[in-house]
Amino acid sequence: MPDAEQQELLLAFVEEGRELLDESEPLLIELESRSNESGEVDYEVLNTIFRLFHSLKGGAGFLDLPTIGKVTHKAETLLDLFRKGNGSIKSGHIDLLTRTCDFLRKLLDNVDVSFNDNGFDDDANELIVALSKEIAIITGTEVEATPEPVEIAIEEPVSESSDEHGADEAPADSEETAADDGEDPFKLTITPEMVKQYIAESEDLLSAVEDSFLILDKEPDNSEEINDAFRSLHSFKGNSGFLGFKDLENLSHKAETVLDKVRLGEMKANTELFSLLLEIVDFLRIGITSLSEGKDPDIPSASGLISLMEAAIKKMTIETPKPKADGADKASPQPTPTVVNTDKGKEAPEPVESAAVVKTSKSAPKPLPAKTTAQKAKPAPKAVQRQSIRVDVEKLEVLLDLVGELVIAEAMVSQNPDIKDLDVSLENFEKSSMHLNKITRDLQDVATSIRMVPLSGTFRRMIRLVRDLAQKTGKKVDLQIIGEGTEVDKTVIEQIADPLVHIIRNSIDHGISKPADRKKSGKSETGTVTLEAKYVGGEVWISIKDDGNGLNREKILSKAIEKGLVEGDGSDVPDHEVWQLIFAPGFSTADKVTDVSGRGVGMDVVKRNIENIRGKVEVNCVPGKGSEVVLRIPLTLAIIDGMIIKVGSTLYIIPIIAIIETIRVSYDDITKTMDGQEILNVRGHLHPVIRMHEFYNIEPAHTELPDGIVMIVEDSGKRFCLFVDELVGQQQVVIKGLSEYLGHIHAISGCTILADGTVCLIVDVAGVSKEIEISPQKLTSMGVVEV
Amino acid sequence: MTATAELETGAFTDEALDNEDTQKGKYLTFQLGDEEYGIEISNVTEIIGIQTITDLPDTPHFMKGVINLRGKVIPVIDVRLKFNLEAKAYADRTCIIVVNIRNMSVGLIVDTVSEVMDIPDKNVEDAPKVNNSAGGRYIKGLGKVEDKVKILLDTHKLLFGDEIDQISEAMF
Repeated sequence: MPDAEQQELLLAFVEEGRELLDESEPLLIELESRSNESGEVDYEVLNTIFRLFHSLKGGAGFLDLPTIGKVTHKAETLLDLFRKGNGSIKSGHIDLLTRTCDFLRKLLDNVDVSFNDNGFDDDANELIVALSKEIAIITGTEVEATPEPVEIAIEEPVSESSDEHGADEAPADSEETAADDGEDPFKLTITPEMVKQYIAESEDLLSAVEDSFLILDKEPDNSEEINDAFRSLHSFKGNSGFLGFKDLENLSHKAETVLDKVRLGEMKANTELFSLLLEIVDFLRIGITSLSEGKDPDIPSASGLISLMEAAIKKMTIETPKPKADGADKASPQPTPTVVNTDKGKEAPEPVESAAVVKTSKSAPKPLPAKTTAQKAKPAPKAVQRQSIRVDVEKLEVLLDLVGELVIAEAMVSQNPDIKDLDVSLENFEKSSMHLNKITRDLQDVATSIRMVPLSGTFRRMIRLVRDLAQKTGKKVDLQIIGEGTEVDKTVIEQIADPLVHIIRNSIDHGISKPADRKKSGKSETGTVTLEAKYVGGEVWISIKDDGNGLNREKILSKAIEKGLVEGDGSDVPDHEVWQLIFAPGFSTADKVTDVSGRGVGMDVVKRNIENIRGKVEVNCVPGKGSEVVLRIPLTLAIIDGMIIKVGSTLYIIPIIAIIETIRVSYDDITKTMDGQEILNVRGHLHPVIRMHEFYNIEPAHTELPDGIVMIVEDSGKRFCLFVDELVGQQQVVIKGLSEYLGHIHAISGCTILADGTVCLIVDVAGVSKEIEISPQKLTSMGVVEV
Repeated sequence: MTATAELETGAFTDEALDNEDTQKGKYLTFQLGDEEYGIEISNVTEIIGIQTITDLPDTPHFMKGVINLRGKVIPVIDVRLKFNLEAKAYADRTCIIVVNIRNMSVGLIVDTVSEVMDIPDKNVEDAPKVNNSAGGRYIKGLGKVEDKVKILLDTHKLLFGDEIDQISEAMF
């Protein structure tokens, strides 16, 4: 079992690896569809995928995960061939690569649990053979039945000989030359994000290298540390080369060469050597720092340093490290040895001059001979600015809870009844409390935004799903994604992934028919599933639309009657209620259960998950034309702006977002239909009136509309009036759920605690509006009370 | 494992922990009208005075509403109404017994709380199944204490006996 630190690294790798795979899969599919459409390969996408696999490989090598290393290497090789324009991408290739992704996921899961990737050799070999075959077909060479030695090299970079290494370098160099040629299709567009990631990675890698060097300085024969350092340096070199940072690449390459020689015993490891190597690390750091500041990562005296290294290699390769004069020539790097003092017994003094060396090393200060070349020339490296940090979600949750409590506490102080009773000027108090209120609001905004995550990750995962399902069912399906940048709370992301999968499965399995059938009904052979996210009012709407057959009203009804969910023949049940039936647990109209769907579990999951986050599911459907499922999810899960209203002696809160305006009415504006429903004429617009006291069955203070207040509210486009006794005030409220014990309460979405400590219920405007539409009978029976 | 160690793991509350030994046979008794009732102390979290109750629309009549218990919103049940006894105005002596079952806190409104007493199992008799009245099924047994009889309630049934059905019905 690896030590705690290693475990942490492994877990970080698993997390990163999953992210990388999440990124790769949709790209692979994009690649496939593009090459299918136009026969052309999108090199930009290809390069990105290549880089993702490469990162994974690098990480695996660094952490000693041979299986992952092998598999990613093979996949990378295949991708590289495409990248170079050898062979065209076929569906089979993409299949193979997505399978590779699946397998890698499995391996990552295993790493997550047992911290290694052993035990998958058979699967791995099978995959590698398959990949090798494709590679062989493209390159026209013999198929090798077993993984070739190159893979073993990846598995254990330790055994890589320096020669192989040199060979490794060659193609990289030629690639770069090609890249310099100008109009080159493989030219990589480097996004700021890639650079950011590179900076963060490099920082870690360099720290690791540095730590290893420091240990090696003490124990030059510690081969494990040499290998560690080598691996880290190699990854760093690879990354730098990939992004085209020549100086960094060359310098690290030289350091790597030195290290390689040490590893093979060709060079004697001693303190001077490590001082030199540590210097190199510092220079690499300077490059990274200037990169993080947005400048070019050029190292001022890179060429000098390199020749310095070369000289050192030359000198030291000769097995006898003779004591040399203090040749360290400050300021002007020359191809002269920089060795300071070779006297083994006499350790160099603590690096007084090495103020420039910012060490993040956790090991105890090590002697660091710091008399070096070019020291004057190098600016003090600043600490690299990290753009992001990983934070435990639990901490965030605690933070959000605390902010919620703070909002309540703030209201309790500034609106304290004791203060209201005071008979003195409160000017100062009010000023301060306004200030406090503002800060509290800002804090709350920030705290909420921390947890906001774009939907793109979740959406992109569906690309893979759609592709797989389409293949499995023999249908042609196109997935369109709109608004993937829409940000929602993290909890929402977690809760909607499953529902999306189920809805999309349903769409493809039941909604969209086979190409031939589609053609018959006059549609294009390829069905379209549209996944869209947008903000509507205080909600995020995620809609999943397909242009399939839509829902079958008769089929659903007959099934529902069979199950006893609907009484009678169901002919009087409105459409939208019929559609809601599909959410009942165990409800399925499928004639047979396939491995895609049909058990009737999916939609139940959808409803439950969405209700968990106080959301709603709506189904719209035009038979024959397609169906749409809309997930309506409240934007903020914890705090809303509310208007406190009074009905009788009870206070209620209405979310401000739902309120259009608040008015007083006169008798002239009111029309009462014969069934008692009051209609209000507001500047020419007619709105039905719901009396809150009747709706909630409370004894009101006013029964005449002109005596009280009429509030015009809106729910998804439908406007209506709420009649209340009076407005009490506006306040930010922290939503608390009503006890689980109570279950769902009619048209109440939750509650909050007011400044005086009493509990106040929050009106669910959508629930009220539903009431008017769904059961007009109930409304009239309530509406006839007064004459 | 010691009791403290278990507590630190947070897996058990004091009540649940002690349930096994020290709290067995201990009942909290309270009064409703002329009769004394008892509930197992292991489920009781605290006893508080009557508070401002916020009405809930559309709930059974015994579900009086919700209260704010130090920032936590918990529902309260009027036990009198639950047993179909005559309603009584709340007064100074009216108490809310907060019980916690299945990780949910619920308040029980009773006329007044009496005391905590030991009623060993041997002194508890099954309730004679004469009537099938509303309250009957919540009785766990009849505890004899000296010459008096305490009606011992099954808290679980009291809270979940029928509501669970109702609530799940309401949900679908």
